[in-house]
Amino acid sequence: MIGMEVADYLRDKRIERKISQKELCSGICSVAQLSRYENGQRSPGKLLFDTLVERLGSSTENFNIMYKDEEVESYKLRTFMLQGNDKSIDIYIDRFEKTIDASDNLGRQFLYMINANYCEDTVKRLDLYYKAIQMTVTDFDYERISEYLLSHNEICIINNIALCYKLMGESDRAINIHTMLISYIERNIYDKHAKMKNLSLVISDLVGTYVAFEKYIEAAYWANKGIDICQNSKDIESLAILYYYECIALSKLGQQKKAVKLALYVQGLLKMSEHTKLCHKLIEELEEQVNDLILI
Amino acid sequence: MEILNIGKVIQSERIKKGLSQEDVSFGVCTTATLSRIERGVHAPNKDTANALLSKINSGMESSDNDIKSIEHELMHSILNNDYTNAQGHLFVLKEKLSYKGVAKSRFSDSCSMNIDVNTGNIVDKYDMNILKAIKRTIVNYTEDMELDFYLSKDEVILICTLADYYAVMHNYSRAISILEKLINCLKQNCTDISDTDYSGLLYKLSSYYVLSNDFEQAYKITNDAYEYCRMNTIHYEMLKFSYIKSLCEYRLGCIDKSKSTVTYAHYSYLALGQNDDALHLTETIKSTPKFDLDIELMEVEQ
Repeated sequence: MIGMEVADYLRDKRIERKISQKELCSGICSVAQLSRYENGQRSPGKLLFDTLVERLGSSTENFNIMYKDEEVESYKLRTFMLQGNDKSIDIYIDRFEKTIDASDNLGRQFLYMINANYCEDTVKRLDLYYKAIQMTVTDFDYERISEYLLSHNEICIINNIALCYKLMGESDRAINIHTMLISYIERNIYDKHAKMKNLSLVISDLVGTYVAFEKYIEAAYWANKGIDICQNSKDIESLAILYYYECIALSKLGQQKKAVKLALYVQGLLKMSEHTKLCHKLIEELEEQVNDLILI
Repeated sequence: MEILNIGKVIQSERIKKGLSQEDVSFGVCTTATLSRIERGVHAPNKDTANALLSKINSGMESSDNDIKSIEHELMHSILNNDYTNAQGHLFVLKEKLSYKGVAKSRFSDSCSMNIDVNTGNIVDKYDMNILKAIKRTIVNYTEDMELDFYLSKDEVILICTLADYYAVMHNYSRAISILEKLINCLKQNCTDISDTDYSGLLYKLSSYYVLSNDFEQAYKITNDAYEYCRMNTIHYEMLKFSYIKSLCEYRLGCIDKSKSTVTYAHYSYLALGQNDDALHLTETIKSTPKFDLDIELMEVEQ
């Protein structure tokens, strides 16, 4: 049994946002279960609770709910897998598979997502992401993003679907999905921190997509928007990536001087925060890109 | 924390806060269950233990998210040496409390003591007042005591205040020893202290080492702090260490490293749009004796 505040919170926020029980729990638990959580008769696991709170557009940070004993193992594996250690990933996936059962949609969704993250073939990858999102959004269709309620994980998966389309050369579709996600986040996520976290993720990928398809004016415009957000949320890594894209965009648009300044920002941010690997990669690519332009 | 111990923890915390078993168990479990848990006869599951502890720690006001978030901000400002903001937050917190019919809470009391110490608003022998406040909850507290138990937010602030007091009195070795014990305790025990608050304490510790001219130790602490920030993905918090890091590197003879530390920090501040902080950094360096970094930085656009 859990403190009443959690139960009250779920119910009050849901009613405040005019969301029905059915909408909120669709794909992640049954209406009967949700009712019990809202009455305080039962307590949801941390993962399920977080997902519900995220779908309500709030932040999970105000609650210090602990993992249940049976969740601890799967939580640890999740973190390992997200940190991305290529060599041992298969072992983790194996172990993780054993922690989930057939009715655990969130677990199976995560499994599809991890498999997709490590899949090198873009078409297969896209298919895996679709399977992942359909675990909890059964009738998923990207044209209808605005009609669903999405958790952070679901937003990540949909964002990755857009990235697959980008790799397949379908720029319009990719940009379309990113933009719809952005407007979803702006409209449906109320918590300031959660909003910024999601926005910086999607915007930096949108800017990357614009750069990949040589739409530099749009790239620079969105990069600026994203930079504003990251400056507020103090998200150093996303900030550096956005400056990196803006730097490329500006140099392609002929604003060499400004581009050089931004390259310094990228380096400063990444060196300061000791993102050594990423710094090396981005700076190398910048040198290449900016030189190209000078040669032209 | 081991299952067997948690009952003891719950009991001692509950008694410290002067709460009855009825108070704490209400809405979580029966009084009889709580009593069994405290005696170590019954092992609570994590949710129950957590619900009990959070009820105890919040002094029965856990449902008040508003107050919680202000307390959070206040704690953050204090542990990151931002006393102007802290005063503002404290004012708001007191308003909220009085709206609920309470004049002050232990937490607001501790914070106001800390602000007094750090803004020079104290009388002689103020350490007696601080010690008295600490002893209200940690009855047998002494400076040399090894802390090895759960500390609540107000206790953390109070112990930190004691360290700050000695630092204000230029007694850095005492300040360092108190702060190190506090940090050690937080490292080993479960706590409500957030990652950024913890890094704030590390910052304080490293600055006290600098003030006592022990650059080697200060450098070690900054490196630990960097590692900590990376592990907890709070990379922004690393930025506040740049000045101390660079100063230590300079004094330890790594001039090149020191230069690049400052340069990267300078560009990071500009990239974050914090031009004032970029200027402040270079000016602090210029005004620090025996710290003659010869670097050219991009000009700050005002």
